[in-house]
Amino acid sequence: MIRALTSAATGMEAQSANIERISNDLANVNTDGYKRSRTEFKDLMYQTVTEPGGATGAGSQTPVGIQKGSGVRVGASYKIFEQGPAKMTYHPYDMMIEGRGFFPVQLPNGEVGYTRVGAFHLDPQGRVTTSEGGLLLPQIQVPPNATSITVSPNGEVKATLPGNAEAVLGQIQLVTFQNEQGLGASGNGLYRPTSGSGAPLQGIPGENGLGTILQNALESSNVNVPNSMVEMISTQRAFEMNSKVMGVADQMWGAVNAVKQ
Amino acid sequence: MATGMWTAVSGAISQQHAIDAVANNLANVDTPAFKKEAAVFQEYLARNHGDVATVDIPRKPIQDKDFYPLDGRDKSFVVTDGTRIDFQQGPLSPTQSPLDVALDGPGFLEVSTPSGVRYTRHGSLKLAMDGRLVTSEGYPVLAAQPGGLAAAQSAASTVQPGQGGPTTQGGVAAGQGAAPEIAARFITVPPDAGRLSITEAGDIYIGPDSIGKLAVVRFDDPKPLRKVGQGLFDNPGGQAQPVVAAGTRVLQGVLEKSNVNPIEEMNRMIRANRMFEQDMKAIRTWSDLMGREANDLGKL
Repeated sequence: MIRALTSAATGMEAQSANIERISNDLANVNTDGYKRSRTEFKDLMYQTVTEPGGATGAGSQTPVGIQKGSGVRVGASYKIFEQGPAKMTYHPYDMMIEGRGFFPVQLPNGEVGYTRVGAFHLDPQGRVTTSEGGLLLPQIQVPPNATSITVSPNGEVKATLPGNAEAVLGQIQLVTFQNEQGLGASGNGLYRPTSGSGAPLQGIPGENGLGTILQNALESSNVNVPNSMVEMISTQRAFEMNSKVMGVADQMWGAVNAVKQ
Repeated sequence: MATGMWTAVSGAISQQHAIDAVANNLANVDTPAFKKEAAVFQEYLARNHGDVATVDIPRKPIQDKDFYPLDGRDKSFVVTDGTRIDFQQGPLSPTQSPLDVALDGPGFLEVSTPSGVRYTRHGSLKLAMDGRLVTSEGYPVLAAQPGGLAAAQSAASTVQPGQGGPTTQGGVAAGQGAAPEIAARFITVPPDAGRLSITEAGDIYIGPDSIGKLAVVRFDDPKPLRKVGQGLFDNPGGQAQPVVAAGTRVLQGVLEKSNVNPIEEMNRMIRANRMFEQDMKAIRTWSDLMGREANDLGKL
């Protein structure tokens, strides 16, 4: 009964981790560039009471053994980098990556972060930055007299200057990782490389499997609301079931205690 | 004295095993590709006195036990005979993640762990930083044939896919590093690869290039398989023969869910709970009887 109690407790713990994950996904349903997460459950170790195939006599073996499971744990929790739907904003500094890749951004603390949130702005010096003040790498400086800028799908940034002149301002580079799911999420839509993600692989948009850039658009959150709702229902019910098991284990224990009056 | 009390105790212990199995099943109701278990009970005769041949016309004063062919069955106990893993297929749920694979059919994926080859149906695969295709624990998933694209083609003539040496050695290989013939079957995805596509036969393609074929094996008799947690199954001593799983489809972007049926588990839980209570009642009755024997019998 102690095992049933602790198994049920691991179940409740795992389901509550799942509810926390679902609530974070649903809270970010309108966050541009947000990637939904997934919690993955794994069964815990087993105690083998009787080995299957153990000899029970000359020439006979037990066909099945006795194995007692000890519950469940959250095996992994990671981001799903599925493409989010495009949202047209018609703001020239909004860029969306269609396909794989991240924008490398120099953060105010000097580190390089990676983001798929392409809502860029200009800083007082005319450099392209994120709303948190991170500079897009390699830096792109827009001249003050530019009338408009265009970003081609392969990341070339051009400015139209007065008098029908045109100037190439720079080339946006995208970065990808061998294992994107190994990236660490650090909030604000930023990701940092870890030893599990591998080294950043930089390239021109549209080449070597990298996505292309779509100007005037933002990538919406890839949270799938109906799916999250269904997950929420099944998680809640699974939690309830595990608490029922806990109640039964408690009742059985109570019955044992009641034997001795 | 009072062996009947121990019968009730054995019943209570068995019901406890049943509840433990239910608790583990319900804790894993959302674990992908989890296979439910059930405890199987067996009657155990503690004392089989009285041979079949000697039970004849009684040649002694008749006692009431002569009317019942008890043969020691009044002293029988119940023991948990085994836990049976139900390998029934779980429902499939689409996830759209290109590295999720579900096996539709009786197959297992082969995985190299530090303690040898293990089998799993938990097909939530990942890419390691060196491009290897791994499970979420980081255990490399094995290809049916050694080597990548080029090696697979050159070795195709010499190696029987999915059977023979590597799979059966898994059970006995004690160990740290994977054996070279196992390591040759790791699947590596090139770094600048686009989207992976996996066919129903388990062939992995990047664009038009095949980079390997997932080893999907099946056991004619999966009973000797043992759970080792994390969705992995061990084949102790190579008792079950893995064969290439014809008829198992590999579905990309889909995960197999747990095959635990909550209604069935609740039903089993209620039954085990009530039977446990009955056993406790029986123990109390025996306790009362013994109390009467000890205290009331001498009174007149």
